[in-house]
Amino acid sequence: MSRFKLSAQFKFKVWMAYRLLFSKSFLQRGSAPLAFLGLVLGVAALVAAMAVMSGFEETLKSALTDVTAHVQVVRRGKLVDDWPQFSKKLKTIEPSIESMMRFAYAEAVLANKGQVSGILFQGVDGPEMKNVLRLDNRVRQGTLEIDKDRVLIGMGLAKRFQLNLNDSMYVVVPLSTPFEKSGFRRQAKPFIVSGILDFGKNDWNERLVIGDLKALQDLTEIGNRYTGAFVKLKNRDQSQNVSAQIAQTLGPSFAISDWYDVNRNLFEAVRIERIIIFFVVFVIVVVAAFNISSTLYVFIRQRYSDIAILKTLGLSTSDVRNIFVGQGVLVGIIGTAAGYLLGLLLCAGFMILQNSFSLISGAVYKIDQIEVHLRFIDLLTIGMATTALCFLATLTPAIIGSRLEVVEGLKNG
Amino acid sequence: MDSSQSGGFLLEARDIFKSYPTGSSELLVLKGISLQIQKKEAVCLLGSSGSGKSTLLQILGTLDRPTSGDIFFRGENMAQLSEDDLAIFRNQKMGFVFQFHHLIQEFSALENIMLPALIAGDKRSDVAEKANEWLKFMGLSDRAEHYPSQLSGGELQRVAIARALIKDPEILFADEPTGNLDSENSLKIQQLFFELRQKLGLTIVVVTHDLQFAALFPRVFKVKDGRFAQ
Repeated sequence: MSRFKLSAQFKFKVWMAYRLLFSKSFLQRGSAPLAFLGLVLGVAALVAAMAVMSGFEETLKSALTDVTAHVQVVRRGKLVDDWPQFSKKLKTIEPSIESMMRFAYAEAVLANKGQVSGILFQGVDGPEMKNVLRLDNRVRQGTLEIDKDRVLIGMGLAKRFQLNLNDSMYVVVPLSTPFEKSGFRRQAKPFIVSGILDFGKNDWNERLVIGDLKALQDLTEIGNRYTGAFVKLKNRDQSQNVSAQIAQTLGPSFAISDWYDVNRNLFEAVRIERIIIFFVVFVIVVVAAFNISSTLYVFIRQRYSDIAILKTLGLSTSDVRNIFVGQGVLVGIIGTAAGYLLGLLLCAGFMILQNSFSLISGAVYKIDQIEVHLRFIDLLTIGMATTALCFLATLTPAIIGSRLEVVEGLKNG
Repeated sequence: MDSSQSGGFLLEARDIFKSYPTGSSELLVLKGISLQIQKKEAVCLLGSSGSGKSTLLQILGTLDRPTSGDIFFRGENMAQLSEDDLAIFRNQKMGFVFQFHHLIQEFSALENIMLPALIAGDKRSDVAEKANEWLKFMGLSDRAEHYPSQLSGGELQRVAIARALIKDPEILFADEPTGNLDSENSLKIQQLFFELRQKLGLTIVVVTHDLQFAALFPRVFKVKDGRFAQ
């Protein structure tokens, strides 16, 4: 019985708060809509700012993991030919490995139509590539087919060298040899462009070429040897733990890095910037909360007669306070929801602007195009912080209103 | 509970003083008033403006506390109850009607009548049914969804009376209930009070300055200058 009564009284208070909030004298005229709009704008700005920050992080993260997998294991010193044993060993160390493949890197020079430029030639196992890397969404032209003659190039490189699909280009590598006077000789091979990709990172787009491992091995005359392994995990977020585990087991003769290590400074900067931006933009919400506080204060002053009659009819001081605080919390919840919607629109606007103008300098931020990314944790934090602030903002006017003497209020009737 | 001391009265006031601070001095509004009210009695507090009759009604109705003196309801000293307990007490035992209807503008007639029962946490569907019965009794069935701004003075006051009665109070306090009405509506409301008393066995305490209205009451206390006059 008592539980039922409690819940009925609670429902009554929520109903009162709701009805008074949407009354003609409150939300539909006066300063209340403006105060509310301020809150919505604050929340929307927060949502958009967080979405862009997370989007930057997410875009960079995706680029790194799509092109170089989750963890890279590289043997220091000489290249060796032991892939079957080494891959088995890796799998026993870390069962959460989903797939892996070996790769080799070579610093090379691309030559085409009289132009030359330094490139990074990344040779991978053709058949394994689709299991370890995620390049499907990155193809801008052509296909992902690589073999002894065909390679994938970044779109920046394609633009600079005016390379189109099926165009031929030369990749030149220097090979050391004791028989030449200079100590090296050059080895060149023509390759055909089978795909032009957006690798996601500016420097990769400018200089990365992905080709078949066998072709690279032949070109650089390293036999069946390789640089290291790209490892893909079942869960990307475990990369740091797994790389630490592998490093510990394999010892110092191996260099283990994950997508986070490679760009640690950038990710750390984004993490700190996100916190700072949250608090800076949150100031808008704080100002909006002050507006709501003063609006509610005026509203309560105008409502002395109603408060008095409600107390006459049996509403306690704490009930009155709770109803007005409930009003504040309702404003917070509705303002947050509306702010989310407007924030989404702002994100859409950002995407349109980004597509029309180059807003982000690739040279500075490594990427020149970002996706906006709404993280549940960001939305939850924004919602909870806003609602809590509205609760605090309404507390003072609610307490003042609830302490009104009935006799005082009835005089104003 | 010391009902032995209160002699079985429903409501008893003992030596009530009420003063308000006004700057450096004090304004004494009630100067030692005592009265006893039996169950089902109809009592009128008659007096001119500023005589202290409304203050007395507010103190009897626990809306205000006396500076000194005690109020007993069925022998229970109201001074011992906290503000929150008094609120619950008023909700369960007392009904109030004022000169101005004090209906909440944003709520329909039906919702205004339902308020005391909703505050008590009664089941909404039951409350709505009861409120509709009261509207019917008041002849306002077709006004259920109307808002206070859409009702006439007499209708507003009848809605206010229905609101005062929905929790089946033992005692109904009315402060100048006809003070804001024309003579025709005034008469209707006056008749309604006695009809309700008859029908519900209500105890009624009415404050008025209207001699004709006062004449209808078997017990009339003339309040003058904070005291009962002979």
